Amino acid sequence: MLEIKNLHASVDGKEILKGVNLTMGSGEVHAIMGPNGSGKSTLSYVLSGRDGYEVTEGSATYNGKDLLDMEPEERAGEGVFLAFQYPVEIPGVSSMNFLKESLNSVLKYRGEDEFDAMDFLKFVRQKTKTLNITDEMLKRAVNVGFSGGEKKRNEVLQMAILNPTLAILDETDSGLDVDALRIVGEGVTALRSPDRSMLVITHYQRLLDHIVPDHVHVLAHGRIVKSGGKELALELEQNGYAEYMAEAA
Amino acid sequence: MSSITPLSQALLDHYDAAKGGFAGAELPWLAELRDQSADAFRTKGLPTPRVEDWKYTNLNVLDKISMDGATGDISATVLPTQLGSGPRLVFVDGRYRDDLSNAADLGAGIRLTHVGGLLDSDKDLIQPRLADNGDDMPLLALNGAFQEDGFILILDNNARTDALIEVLHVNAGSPVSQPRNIILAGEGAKVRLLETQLGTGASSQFFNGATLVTLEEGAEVEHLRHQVQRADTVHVNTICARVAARGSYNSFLLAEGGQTARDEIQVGLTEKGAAAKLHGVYLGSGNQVLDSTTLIAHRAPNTKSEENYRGALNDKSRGVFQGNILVEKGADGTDGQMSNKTLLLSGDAEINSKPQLEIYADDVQCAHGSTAGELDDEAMFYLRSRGIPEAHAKAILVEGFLAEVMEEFDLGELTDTFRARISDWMGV
Repeated sequence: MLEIKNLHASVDGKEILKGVNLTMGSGEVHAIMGPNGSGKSTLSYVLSGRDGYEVTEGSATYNGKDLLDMEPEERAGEGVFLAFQYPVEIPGVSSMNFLKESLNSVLKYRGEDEFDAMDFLKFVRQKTKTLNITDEMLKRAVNVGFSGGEKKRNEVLQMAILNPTLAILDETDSGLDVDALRIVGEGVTALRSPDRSMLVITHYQRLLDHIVPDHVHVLAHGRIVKSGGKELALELEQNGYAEYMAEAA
Repeated sequence: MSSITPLSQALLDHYDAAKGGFAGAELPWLAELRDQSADAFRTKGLPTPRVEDWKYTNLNVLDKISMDGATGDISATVLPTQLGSGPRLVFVDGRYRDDLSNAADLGAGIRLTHVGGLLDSDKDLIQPRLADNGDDMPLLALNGAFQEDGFILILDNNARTDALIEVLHVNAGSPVSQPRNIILAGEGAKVRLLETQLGTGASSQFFNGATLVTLEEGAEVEHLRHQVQRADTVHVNTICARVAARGSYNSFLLAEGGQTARDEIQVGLTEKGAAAKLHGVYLGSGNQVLDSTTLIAHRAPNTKSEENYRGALNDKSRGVFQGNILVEKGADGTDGQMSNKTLLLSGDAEINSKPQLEIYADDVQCAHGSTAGELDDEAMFYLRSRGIPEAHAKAILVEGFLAEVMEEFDLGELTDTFRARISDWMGV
């Protein structure tokens, strides 16, 4: 269970999050929607531990542990996963090697047995089929020369492999055409499970056609200003964010 | 009379006193060749930082090394590494060790031997190359004066082998070691050679090696080098290569040892279509100075060179890259590409990078680039967010950065070995 209480965070001395409150139970899918600059990405980075984001007030605990006190790799070990809006290119490091290092690091943290190269290959091949990821892609350097769709599929693959209990999807639909969106959406939906909660951060409702949320929240000016069911996303799609932008101004 | 440093004078005095006892001293041509080299060295002596090419690498560190110790008994030196089963020559403190070497049958037309093992009748073949002291290269001249042994690899026309030949120079006890090596590749010949310079002794050393390389028409030589000297060794290695029509000389250097270590390559692309590829990786830590200095002279039309050096520097280490592409008049259609990139892993590490182009021909394609920077924060966060601990993430990024040069060169079966050295160096 994720509990965010009165979370305030600043970047370069400028306050971006101004008191976020959110509770997510196990297996729940929550969507956070909001206009540009509302603090959506900041929330995802604060939860995953990126440098440069200073928490000035409030707390975020995951399964009772203080998330904000952990290094990014410890959070991953605890089951937190961030699907990046802009997956990073890493020249010279093969995707396959990266995935293996990543999974084995997480397994080690959890005190479980690590994979050897052969077993890992078999394991990965089970996961790549549905995401339409070829062996050739896995040989290439991480995200280097990947199309927008390939990068996002690669994020979902990492999620499938690391098996997180809390997945944060930061604007996973950005830069995707309709077909790529469907593949990614189906990939994520296939990973829904009673043991895995998801925080889907998005500007548009279209991703939520594929990943249907249990709860929808509107983030504006660093606060959650409205919460509701999945119908709230449709309402936002029709009316836009103007109402919320004006409200806080 | 020009004044040379006291150490330079001491080296010359030592030469005069010791030369009568050098291996092969009874051969007049060899004695004369040494004297000529000593004279060439005498004109300027050891370079000081006032010499442009030596501005960033100061040999005054040699003052700390005792030069007059005699070579000890090398017959009992135990090697620190496991020797492979392939063809190899082993030199200990610059002297050939027959019992450790395995110059088995390399196929028709391929001869792997050492200077001391040559007969006087080979003189016509090797003397012209042994006599080459390059153009204004005092360390090469010094090496020429003190030359006693070194490997010789001779390939007749069209002699080709895929076997990886290994030459191991172990610096065990002697304070000074100056092997002089020769590679002669005949027309259409092909060979791969791994040369390792490894320090194991108890005291600091001065290694001043040289390899003189000649490629005839269409010959291909892959010259892989691994420099793993002791951390207090002063290391200078000089390669002079001449490449005839459509020949290609390809060198890869992994430099990780030495206190002050300079690897200098001069390649002359003397005939149409000749090519050179010089790639390298340097790993600096402590207060090491690692210097890669290259000159590629395009002397004929349609010659091609590709140069790519990358390094990672930690602590207070310093890297030096001096790359010069010279395109002489008439060398039209030259293609010369040079790149040097360095990762600075500490705020105290430094790189002196000096890529140069000197072009006197028309219709050439030449480019050079040089960058230095720190590890990418975004990439670090990406790896750590996937559960990879900080130190390990750093190692993955450094290895990936350096691996690109290895992939571009294609090290074949040595890829894993060299990558493992980088992992070791990163401490993971």
